[in-house]
Amino acid sequence: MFGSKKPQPPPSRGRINLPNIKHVPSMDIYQTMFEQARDNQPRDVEQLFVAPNTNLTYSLSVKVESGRNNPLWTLLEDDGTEAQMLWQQESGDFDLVNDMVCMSVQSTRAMDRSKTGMPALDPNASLTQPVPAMQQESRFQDDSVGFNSPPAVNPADLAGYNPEGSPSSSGSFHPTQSSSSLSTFQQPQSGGVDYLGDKMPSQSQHGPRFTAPEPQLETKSLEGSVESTQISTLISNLNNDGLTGRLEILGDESVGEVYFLNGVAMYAHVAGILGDNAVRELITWRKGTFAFFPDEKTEVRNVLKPMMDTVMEGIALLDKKKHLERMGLTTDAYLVKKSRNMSDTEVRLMLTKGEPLNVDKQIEVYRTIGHKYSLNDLLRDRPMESADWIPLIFNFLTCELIEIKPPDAVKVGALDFLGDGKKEVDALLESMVRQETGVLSYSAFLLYLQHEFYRFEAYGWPMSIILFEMNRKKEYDSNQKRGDLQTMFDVLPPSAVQNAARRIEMVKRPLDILGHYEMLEYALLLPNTRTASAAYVANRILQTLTVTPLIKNLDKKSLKLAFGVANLPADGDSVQQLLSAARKAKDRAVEANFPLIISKSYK
Amino acid sequence: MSEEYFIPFNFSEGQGLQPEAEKPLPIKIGDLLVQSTMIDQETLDSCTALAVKMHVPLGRILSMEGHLAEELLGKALDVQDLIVKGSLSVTNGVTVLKLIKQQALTIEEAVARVNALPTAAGVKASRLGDLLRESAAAQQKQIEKAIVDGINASLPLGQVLLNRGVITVDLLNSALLGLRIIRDGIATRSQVLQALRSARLRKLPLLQPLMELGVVEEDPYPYSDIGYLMYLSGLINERELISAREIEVTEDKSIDEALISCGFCSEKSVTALNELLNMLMEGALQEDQAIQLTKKLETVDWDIAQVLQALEEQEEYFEEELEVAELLKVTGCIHPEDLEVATQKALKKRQSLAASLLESGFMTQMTMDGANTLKSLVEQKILDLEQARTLLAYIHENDVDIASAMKDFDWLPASMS
Repeated sequence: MFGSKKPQPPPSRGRINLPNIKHVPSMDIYQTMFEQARDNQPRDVEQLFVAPNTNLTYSLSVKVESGRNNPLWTLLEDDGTEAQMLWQQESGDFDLVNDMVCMSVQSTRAMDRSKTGMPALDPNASLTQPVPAMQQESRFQDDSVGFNSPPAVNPADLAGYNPEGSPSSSGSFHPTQSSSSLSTFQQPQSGGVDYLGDKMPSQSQHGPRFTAPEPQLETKSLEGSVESTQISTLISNLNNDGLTGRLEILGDESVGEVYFLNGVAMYAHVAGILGDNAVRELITWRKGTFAFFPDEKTEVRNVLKPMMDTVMEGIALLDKKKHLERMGLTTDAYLVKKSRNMSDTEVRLMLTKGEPLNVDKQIEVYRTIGHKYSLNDLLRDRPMESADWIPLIFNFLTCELIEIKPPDAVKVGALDFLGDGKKEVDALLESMVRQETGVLSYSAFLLYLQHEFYRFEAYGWPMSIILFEMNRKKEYDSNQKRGDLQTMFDVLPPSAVQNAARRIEMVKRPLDILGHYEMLEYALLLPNTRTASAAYVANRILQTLTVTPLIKNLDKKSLKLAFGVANLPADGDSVQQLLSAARKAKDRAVEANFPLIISKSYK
Repeated sequence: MSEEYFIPFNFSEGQGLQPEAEKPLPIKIGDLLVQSTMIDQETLDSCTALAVKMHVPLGRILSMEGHLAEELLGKALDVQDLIVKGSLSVTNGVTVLKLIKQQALTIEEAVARVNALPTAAGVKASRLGDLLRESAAAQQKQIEKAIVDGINASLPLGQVLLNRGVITVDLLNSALLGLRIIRDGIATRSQVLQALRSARLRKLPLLQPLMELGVVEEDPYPYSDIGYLMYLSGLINERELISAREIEVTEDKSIDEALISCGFCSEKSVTALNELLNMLMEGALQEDQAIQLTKKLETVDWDIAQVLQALEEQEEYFEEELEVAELLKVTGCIHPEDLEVATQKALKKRQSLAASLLESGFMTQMTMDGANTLKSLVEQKILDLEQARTLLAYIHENDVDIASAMKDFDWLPASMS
């Protein structure tokens, strides 16, 4: 029994041994052990017990030390030929320790003989997924056939125990500090790679807890949040534990996945990045959730470098990213050159202070950075993976080539430099707006139209106009068919026009100009826009005006809308022709089944 | 009273016997009216002067001078009362009055909307906003701004986010389905969040990740309300249905109430639609019959008896003939001279006009396919001719296929989506 074979549990000087028992310790024993250990620091207190119907003996010991917050529990297993440590857990939660002990005893009993260490769970992973019926069934069948619950174990604890590694019924299953901290009970036990390929491992190979994934319903053995479990730790543990399956990580912007075969990362991809780079990229993620789907395999391999090397590179990358974020880097933050007129040689010299990267590439990227240039802009102009851009920006910053400024620090109005002088401009703009509606006056609209026409003439840029009317059906009579009431319209009250203008503001581009047109109509000027694209905008305006009532009692049924779309050069080469075409189309739209007409339909 | 609490007044010490000074009002009614743009400052000043001179309340002068309706004045006084009681801040009180004036809301409705406004501490409870934020579909700032803009433009949050391009129609649809599922206890919030995040990233409808998670086995809401019936019939488009759904799940209304509040149907037609839906579910009506009758409800306000009577009357099926070449010409997809050349060539070579147009390079295959499909859709009365023309121009200009064009315009009928 214990101590008779190698390796032996380390003998503890002054260990306190409690009388052997022939069942799993009960809760009061944990309490007694803890009290003894607490009162006799730093001595170990050991409880030997035998698992019923097996030849296995266990040693559970606990130690309380002044430097630790919680007592340290250790479980050893002896099969008569060899003893090994199953786990160590620092915890003051007796329920948790009890769960773990029961789990270990149950696990090893069910597998008849444990060849591996006691599987423990990821410190922060939680398993909220209900166990599929098939798995539950096999588990319970297994329990009923081969295991009589020891009397000391709370049946509720056993019922809550989930071989897939889920929390106990009390929800108190917590981190372990085992070096093998991410194993699950679905972990193949045979070791090696003898079931590569598609051949599924047999039940006997993997113990009764192995459950083949159902064909349609994916079964997760492990899940958690990236915020609480770093991806690097996760990958390292899957690697160390020799697991097979697919790790899926849902980040804020994309999904990544890594396939493992007996702990070896085989294939990884994320947002178009493949292989080792994808693993590095994933390690830099700090938000999201992950799930591990056991036994999913792929025959493609694109992860080639030793995993530990990649993980270390990823961690280094993550450190740099954190530093950059501390310095204020966000995708909207501006990268501002400290000196605008540095020669390549100067830049080269400055870069010697940084990490050794390709200098030519660094200079090339540095030259790309322009005025009011954000990280978003850089990645748009020079798409790069984070493994590429993080070291570059890090170097630029540490070599004092750039500084990082928050978006608001750079975003200023074009005329803000005028100070109080800008107020006159604001007053002028204000005078161009009709007060009751907040919409640009007709004459102001024509002014902008004229200006845009000059651009059309000078550069040949197309321009479109949407001429439209918004009216209220005077006495909407729902018993009459559509079309009977078209002559009976009221203009909209100013509050409805204001709401309409606000909705149009959301749909149009900032450069598009909305204004009154003549007395009762409205127009939207769309610079550099062709007919069909203008029709698309008109349709969106139509939708947003009718999707909910503009004001009370002014809904889709009582609102009369008509849109005419015209364009230069499609409908002529002068403003007069443009407006005439738009008018014709709009008048046609008033009569039409669908209230949106593009002028060239009727040329 | 015990002696120790008795503090005698001593007039000789010069204390004035004055009533306790009234607590100053957080905002005077005149200022409240000016700030909420009910009247301008000039009007306030002149009316105040007159009120002082005539010794009458300011409100009466404002009303008598025709600057403010009595009803609005009454509401303004109620709002002032809420501010005094501390139920509303001055800023929110001003916003409430603006909403009352601009959107003809009741005080309760306006206060409810304002209570959804973000505060300095961040976004207030917004079911949809929270779900979108927590699933990383939208940022807090975007949601905060959208809530404010939505209140100002009288639009639901989801519609503002759609207009701003923050989220897609599919994502909004998924988020609203998620809220329905949470509301009905079909899944927990965390399950929906996880599924929504997955749906967003993988560009899938929400149901698929929910099924993968084992939360649901099938669509929990198959064809079960009049909103979907109206959508199927083309009475409302997808975006309008989504808007009604948003009101349903965020304002705790039934879909019937939501559709009425959006102005898509009347109470009378809701009753008729529900009858139709029941008949459809019981098998008393075929789907196409139900759709035809639902379409009729767009132009009439029938009760169910009239609807059933209409069952007897068969609609005449009128098929409009449409020439593809004409469609191409009027949309500017082909120049009339090119059409003439291609026609001559087709006659000479004894080939179809379509083949001739393609062979001559006057037309791309994409545009030709689009024209043929649109011809068919117009003939089947799925689209109006005006819509077909617009779509064909869009296909031609942007070199997209017909499905993409219809999706961009939200004109894809339910039967094809």
